[in-house]
Amino acid sequence: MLLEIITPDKKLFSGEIKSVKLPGTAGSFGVLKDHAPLISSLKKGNIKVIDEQKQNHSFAIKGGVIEVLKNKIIVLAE
Amino acid sequence: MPSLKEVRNRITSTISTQQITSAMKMVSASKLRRAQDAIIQMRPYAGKLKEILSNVTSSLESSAGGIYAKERPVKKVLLVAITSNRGLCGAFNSNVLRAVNSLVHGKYAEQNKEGHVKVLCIGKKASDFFSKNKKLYAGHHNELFNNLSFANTAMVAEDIMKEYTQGDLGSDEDANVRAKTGGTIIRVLASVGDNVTAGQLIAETDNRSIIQEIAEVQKALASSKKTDTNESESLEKKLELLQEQLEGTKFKSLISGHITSLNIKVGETVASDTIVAHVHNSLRTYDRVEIIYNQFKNAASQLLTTEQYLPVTKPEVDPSAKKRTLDYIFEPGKEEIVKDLIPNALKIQLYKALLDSNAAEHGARMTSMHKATDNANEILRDLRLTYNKARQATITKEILEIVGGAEALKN
Repeated sequence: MLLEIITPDKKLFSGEIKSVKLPGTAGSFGVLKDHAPLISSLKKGNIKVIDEQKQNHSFAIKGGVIEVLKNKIIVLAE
Repeated sequence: MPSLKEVRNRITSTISTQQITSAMKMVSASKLRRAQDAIIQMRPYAGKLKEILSNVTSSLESSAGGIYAKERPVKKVLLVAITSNRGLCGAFNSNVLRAVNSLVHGKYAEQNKEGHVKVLCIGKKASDFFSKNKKLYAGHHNELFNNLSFANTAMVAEDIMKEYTQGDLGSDEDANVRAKTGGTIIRVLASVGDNVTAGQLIAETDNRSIIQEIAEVQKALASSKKTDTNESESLEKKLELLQEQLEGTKFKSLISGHITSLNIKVGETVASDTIVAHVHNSLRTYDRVEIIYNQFKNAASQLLTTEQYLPVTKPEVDPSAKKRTLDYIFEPGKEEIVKDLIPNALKIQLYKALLDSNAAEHGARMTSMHKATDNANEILRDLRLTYNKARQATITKEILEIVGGAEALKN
């Protein structure tokens, strides 16, 4: 599953991951492999990523939006 | 024929100017590269955002965008002029300034007559030009170019959006504060020039007797509740009336702004319905916002662009996006997402304009410095020719003198 976290200034993260946890406006949620297509807005919080090597990554964001489509996740963060 | 020394001086000064211009060209070239990189960095974000936005709006029937998309009669206009902080870049800045001027006197001449056109300057060249014109000038954000980042730009964009949304409240230019109930003033809490918010207390009249009466009525009400329902009802009405009166002794500002005049002092008696203070609405509000900037086309050419910023023009729906409108899950809901995304898209729009202008500025400076270096070369060639001519002339003159002297000695 491919994850991309982009901000207007630069690309924060890009790579294959196992799972990701996001701060959605309607509540925190996680995305695993083969998730249904989803568009959700995000609020201030941390994005927690677990990559293929089971390494943890964390990114603080101020808000944004996420699109999940065919095992490709794109986070537009601020 | 100029003297040798004169020409030599001119040659050295031209050479040093040429060195400066060619150095500036190099600097601009490297800055242009960085500015271009920033644009390229921003592109995937902007592209994806647009895609999601059109994806959501295409399946949304109601006029999405809410307050930002609503067209209002254009009474007040804000023009955002984006120039550079530094000069020496050809017609780059003057093009923007000329475009703004033609908008002010052409398209928005009517609004300008009433003084309702304002220019927000981004870049020192624009603020230098417009700060002389108090009627148009609305402040500047020259510091943006020192450290061009999305976070800084977002703040400016938020300010503009706020001023735009406030315009929707239909706030009046000015408002008078009237005394609802007459009486003796016991407290004045503001003075002329103070900033007040809507609903802020400005002054109070003597209300002790009313407060006392309220207490009495409340007491009577408490005791009558148990016994007489008819009496308690009438008492309740009286209480309501008294509370209204008490409210009337407090003079509050109706709008946010600053106090321009205050006609009361402590101890004075005022009749009801006299104007006690005058509040001027100092908040700037706009019905339309436009951005004027140089769009970056390539290093040698810029495209002067005027973009409508607010109200938001409908995002054109990509026909291919419609096909891909799979059954997305929308969290928390389509409308909420659009509401969230539109301010974001607006920030990106301003950021893009700034990045474009920044890259265009360096491009323009690069070409104009290149031309300056070329021109210096040409001048140098001419000067060297005159220098050599002058040198030759003196040598010929000296030889002639020597030959003439030798001839004279022979005889």
